[in-house]
Amino acid sequence: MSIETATLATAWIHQPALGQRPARTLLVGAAKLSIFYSFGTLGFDLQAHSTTVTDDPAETISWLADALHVPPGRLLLWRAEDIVVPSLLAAAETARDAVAGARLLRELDLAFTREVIDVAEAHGGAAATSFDAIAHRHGLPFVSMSKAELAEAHRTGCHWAIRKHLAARAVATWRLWLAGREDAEPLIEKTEAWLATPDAEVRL
Amino acid sequence: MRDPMRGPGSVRAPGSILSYDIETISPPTPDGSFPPWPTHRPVAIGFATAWQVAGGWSFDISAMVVADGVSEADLVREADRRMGNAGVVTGYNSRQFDALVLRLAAQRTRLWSLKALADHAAANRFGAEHADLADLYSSHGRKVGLASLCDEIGIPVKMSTSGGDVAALWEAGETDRIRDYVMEDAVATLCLFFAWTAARAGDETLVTRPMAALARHIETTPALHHLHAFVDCALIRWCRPRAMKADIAAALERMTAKLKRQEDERAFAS
Repeated sequence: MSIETATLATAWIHQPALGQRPARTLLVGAAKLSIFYSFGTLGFDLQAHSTTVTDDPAETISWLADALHVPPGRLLLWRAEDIVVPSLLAAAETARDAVAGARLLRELDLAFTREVIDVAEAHGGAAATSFDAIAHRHGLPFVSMSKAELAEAHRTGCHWAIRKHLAARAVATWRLWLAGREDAEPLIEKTEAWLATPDAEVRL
Repeated sequence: MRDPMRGPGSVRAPGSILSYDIETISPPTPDGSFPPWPTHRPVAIGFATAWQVAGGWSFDISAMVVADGVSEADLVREADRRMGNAGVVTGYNSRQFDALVLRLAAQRTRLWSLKALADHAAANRFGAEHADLADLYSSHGRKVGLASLCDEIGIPVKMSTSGGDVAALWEAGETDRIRDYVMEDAVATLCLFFAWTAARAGDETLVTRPMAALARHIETTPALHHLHAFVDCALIRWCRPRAMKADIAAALERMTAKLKRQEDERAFAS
């Protein structure tokens, strides 16, 4: 099975330097929606991972590296240039587990040899400030998670909230990209049909 | 032996780059040919400045039109100030037109202490401090128009108007359209400079990274909305994902070096 398209949503927390501890960027969650053809049928696969305060922060880094091990033919991101990629680089480079960080960078490097689309480019690019507002404008239901809510979920070990949010964001990114395409009607119909099934619930 | 790091072949990313373009008016010639350069008076100038800071690129894009309290002398003074602050000045046919027109305008307005402008107007054609892209692209042979190069590379140019329309716009008092046009040309010239530098150095990151940053600058600066065609142009669309790829590859290189260092330290300690 080759993955045709994947959308990625990530969440991170910046930890400022404190005493002897250098500043770090923690990758606290990631979700990936894969859209692929298998034996002529369009399939979807939604997965997410998160790390909270009592977990090893390298776990999500390793999970994301595994998720990108087979690079998708097309990778869809939101605000890739100025938010997603810089935060992933910061998380990898400041990880205590340098091997995990290097592995994520290697898989990212391979993923970027394929087609990468920043969905935000069609919505103002670096000026596209609010994913929520743009998703709502296109009639896509999406409940945002503020930085404070993310920090609280990380602090209290609430994996479900982080994963559910990122999974919804990955799905909304895919639907937003579809909404901007002229030939996407059959894909939109198949996506709607999949969303109505229990399979559309993120695997935790 | 000639130092390979000198001259226009010495391509490295300069600390700061000033791209500029001027628009002029001149009395028409009886045969309709292009009037001799001394008869041209500058009425507008566009600046696109790029500089590197903390591994990224920053930009300042602006224009001045001789109107509403701005005189020809102000325009010339500003050109001199900006040239003095730039590591490299670039333009299109700037060595044989723009700089000469500005130098003559300085003398006409009795401005004698504009050293940076004087230096650039007298720049060595093979020197690295002034990159006249019309010369460089034609290898100092027969020049072609800016648009013909930009069209091939996928840089938008002459979008709203063209140089031949400036006199009519000036007569009609349409200074805003002249301002937009001269700014477009300065930005197109800057893009062409990045393309030239990358091709000359054989390093695509010298075009991908600054072009991606330029796109973000235009997107996030409401006053530059009229330059949005650059964000959607073929060259920038090609550059943006590759700039991210270059950043990832650089980070991977740093991490690989870090792991190697740690391995060496462990081996030394054991």
